[in-house]
Amino acid sequence: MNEKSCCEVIGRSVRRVDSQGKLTGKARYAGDISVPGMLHARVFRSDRPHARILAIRTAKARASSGVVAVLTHADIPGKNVIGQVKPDQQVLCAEKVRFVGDPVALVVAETEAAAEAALALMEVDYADLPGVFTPEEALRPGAPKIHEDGNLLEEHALRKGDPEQALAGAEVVIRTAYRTQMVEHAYLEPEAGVAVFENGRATVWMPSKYAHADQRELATVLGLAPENLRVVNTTIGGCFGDKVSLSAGFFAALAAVNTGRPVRTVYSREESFIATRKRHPFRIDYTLGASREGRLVAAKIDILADAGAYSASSPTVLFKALIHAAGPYDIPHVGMKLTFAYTNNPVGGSMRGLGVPQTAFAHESQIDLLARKLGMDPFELRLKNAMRPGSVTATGHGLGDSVGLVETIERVRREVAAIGTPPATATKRYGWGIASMFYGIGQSARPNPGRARIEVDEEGRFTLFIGIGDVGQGSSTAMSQIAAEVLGRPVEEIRIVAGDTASCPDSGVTAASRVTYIVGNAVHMAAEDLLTQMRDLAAGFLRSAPGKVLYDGKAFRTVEGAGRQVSVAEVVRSARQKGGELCGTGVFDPSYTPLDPETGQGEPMGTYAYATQAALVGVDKESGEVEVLKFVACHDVGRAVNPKAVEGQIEGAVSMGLGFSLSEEILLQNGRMVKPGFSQYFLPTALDMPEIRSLIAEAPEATGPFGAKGVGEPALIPTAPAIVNAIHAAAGVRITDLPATAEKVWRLFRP
Amino acid sequence: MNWKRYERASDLNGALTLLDRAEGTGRVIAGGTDLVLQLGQRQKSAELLVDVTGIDELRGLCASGAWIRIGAAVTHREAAASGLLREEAAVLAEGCGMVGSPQIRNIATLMGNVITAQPAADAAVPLTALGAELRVVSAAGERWVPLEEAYRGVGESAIDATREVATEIRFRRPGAGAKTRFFRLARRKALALPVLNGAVCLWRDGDAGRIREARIALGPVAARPFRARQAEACLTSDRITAALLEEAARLAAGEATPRTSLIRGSEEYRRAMIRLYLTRTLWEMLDIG
Repeated sequence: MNEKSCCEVIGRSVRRVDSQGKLTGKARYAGDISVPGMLHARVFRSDRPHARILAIRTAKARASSGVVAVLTHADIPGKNVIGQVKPDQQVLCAEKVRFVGDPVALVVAETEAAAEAALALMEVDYADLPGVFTPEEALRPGAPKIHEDGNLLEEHALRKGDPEQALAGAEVVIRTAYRTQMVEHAYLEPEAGVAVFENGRATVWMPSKYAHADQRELATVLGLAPENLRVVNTTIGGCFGDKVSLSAGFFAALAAVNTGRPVRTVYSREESFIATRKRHPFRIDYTLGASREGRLVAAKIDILADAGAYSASSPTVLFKALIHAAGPYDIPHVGMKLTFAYTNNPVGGSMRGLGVPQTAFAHESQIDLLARKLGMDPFELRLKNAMRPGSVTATGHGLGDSVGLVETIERVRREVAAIGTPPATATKRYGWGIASMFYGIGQSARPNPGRARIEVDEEGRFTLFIGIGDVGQGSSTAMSQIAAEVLGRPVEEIRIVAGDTASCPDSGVTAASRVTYIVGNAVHMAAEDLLTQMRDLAAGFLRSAPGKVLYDGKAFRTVEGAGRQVSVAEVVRSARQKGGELCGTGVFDPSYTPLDPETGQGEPMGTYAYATQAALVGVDKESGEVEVLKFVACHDVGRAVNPKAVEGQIEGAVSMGLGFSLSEEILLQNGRMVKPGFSQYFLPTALDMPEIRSLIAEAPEATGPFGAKGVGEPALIPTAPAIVNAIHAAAGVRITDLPATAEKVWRLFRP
Repeated sequence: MNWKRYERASDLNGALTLLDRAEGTGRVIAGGTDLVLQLGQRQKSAELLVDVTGIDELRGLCASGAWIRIGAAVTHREAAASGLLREEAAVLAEGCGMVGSPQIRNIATLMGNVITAQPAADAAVPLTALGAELRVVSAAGERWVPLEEAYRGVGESAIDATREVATEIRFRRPGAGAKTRFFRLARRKALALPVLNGAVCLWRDGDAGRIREARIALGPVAARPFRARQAEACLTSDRITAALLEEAARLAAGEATPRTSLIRGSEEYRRAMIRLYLTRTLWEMLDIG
């Protein structure tokens, strides 16, 4: 790709294409959609963590006023199974429920209130089974089986060099056990979906991070050919990794197909907490060995994750954790074992960072502990071991040129020094903590093509079609900017259609920070493709060679003959008269090599992003309260397509990481959530936010669009360890178990 | 919504008549920030809601003789911003300023904060320390209820909002020589019920430094806003020393009965925080050392 020096649109903080609709309230979320004659469906969910279903008695609910239908597993027209990686989950449970919140029936009524009232009349006879609530219990011999083939969902290892021997010979060894908690995505929008079924074809409007995958999966559930199911992405009110598979839209579609009437399903906040997927809790046993000079020699990492009741995206999370658990350092000897176990807890899903925020908490805590033990400056220790061009990752991936880690460490170091540390007071101590990370852009060691298409009409107007909707991170703006740059038009003149399976190509999933790099490349290619087609036609018009035709965004003209030109609109009209359509297409799939199943060695990603963050905290030495006062984040994004959007990602991630490190936790008692909802789930508020300094580093990626990589998840990954390391710097205590509540910190102060 | 009628009363008699006719199926609503949720979750029920916030006589916040009077329609925002309270009973203005978020403070009333009967209520805790009482009016007549007697249990008021209208909160003006202060520990800086809150009112005699009277209210460390009477007695002393403050805080931590909660923390931590926060607050108020 080219590294243009004259970019008009790339690298500029153009106004987001979705901002006006969202600010004026015109943006339509799925819950805003209303169709005449629409019914309302509510899901009846298990209140047991683990039970056999003996009977589902629907008669009373069915007889309730306003109820149109009560659907159970018997009413599923297609296959009652979902699971995009491993099909192990039913849409409506038939024999067994495996967590509190497992869907058992669907009540469809004329009004939401009637559906709600009928839920209370549902009767299910259960035979309770012993529940399994920790991964350790789940893997104990003789543990109650959650699935037929046992509770071990997935297990993988990584081996590079000889970690045991290297650790035995290491001059300094740090071994620590870490635990991370279950957290909730907590999107602002209540999840919703609206479905219409007419003449054997269904249309579902719903927020989805991957409309084409939902189309394929839902079609099998509904017993429809995929082409008879259209999924239309609505404005997405927050995603953070979730919003694919078995969402509210699935239930609305099932009800619409069964009743023949339009149906809307909206989850309540409590239901959203109970029913949706969560971040996997990890237990990490981490041994790190180094020389006295601070050279890392070996790491041995054991990870045990609570996958909850179904596989969902556990395999994806496992491989992301495996690839990144050794951190952004060149370590010659690495051994890992990762085990994911089923439990009767809420389902572990995809959440921003896919297992890497958990592993980064461990490796960055380890680096900090090592620096303390060696008496080294934590910046210096990181610089000494930081990945550079040519470094080799734990999976044996030799890195290319786009490795900006050192720059991020150095810039954060300068900024921290410039801000300084406040002096201690009678009760408060202050300190800075830092953390670094690397993160592979895209899905791990498997194909993940992104596709894009650009059309131009007879007025010369361009329309970009991509399969992915904007989840709030600004992807539609970034994609429009890339198309606008190539086509020489202002961003607002690029129309965009995103996430409609009827008209958009399959661009893959909005996940793994892949959109800018992978789909952005596809958009770039599609725009170049269209421009080439137009230029060829224009050359014919101008009786010139394509190489001698100049394009200024509106028209083509020849290099030599001034005055001779043909407009884009004329090119399109002429093509159409000849029966041709002008349409540019692009597909990009980063190259990779698969991971060896025994050793985990391979080159799983197209490129990696790097970052360093630092937090200044104040710790109350007597109460254990922690306040984050300032934050510095420097991210190597390859190339910032829209710097303001990058800053937005960083600021949002700091808020999310603040919650992950200090206050957020889904509390379960025997699989049952304690006080589901916002009032007792402590997301940081505006008042809890520190002042944030966002710095952008650009180590251009040769295979990225205009050099870009990604930032969505990287922004979150180092936040929690930076805060935890700052607590140690301020107060001399080490939190190894997230979140770092005031009481946990206080306990560490006590003898 | 599971109520059938909503009436906005324009005077007290009108409200009482509406409640009387509803024969127990009506219920008083003011800000409704708790009640509407409770109705939605079917923790409370009502056929008729009688909105009392439009009744003029319930609107005032003023000093009247030896008393400060706060009408039942006064919101947390009004109390937090009140010059009178900031001057004479800062503890109440401070507590009211900590409730929920600006949106909630704009609509939720102090009276509601008492009637909702939560032991953590940030207005009710200072009102307890201030020795407030409530005027309660019904078809049967009117009575004054000391705040500490307005609770029957967690979330359960001794005021029957289906038949009675609590019209006014009053407490004696603390007067010159009084000092009041609020403190609070919570899981985040806004929109969080407290792990611990407390209100301290001290009356000192002249310059001698003697404490004539001390009132300490704490929440949520018991089933209702809790008066730490042992600590109060300890503080009522001629000689104010650091040791005395610490002893008072130790007594308060001992006499309160916080329970271990997954969300608020262990009993041990909560007792330790009572002691810590009370020591700090007394230290600041008495300016010794």
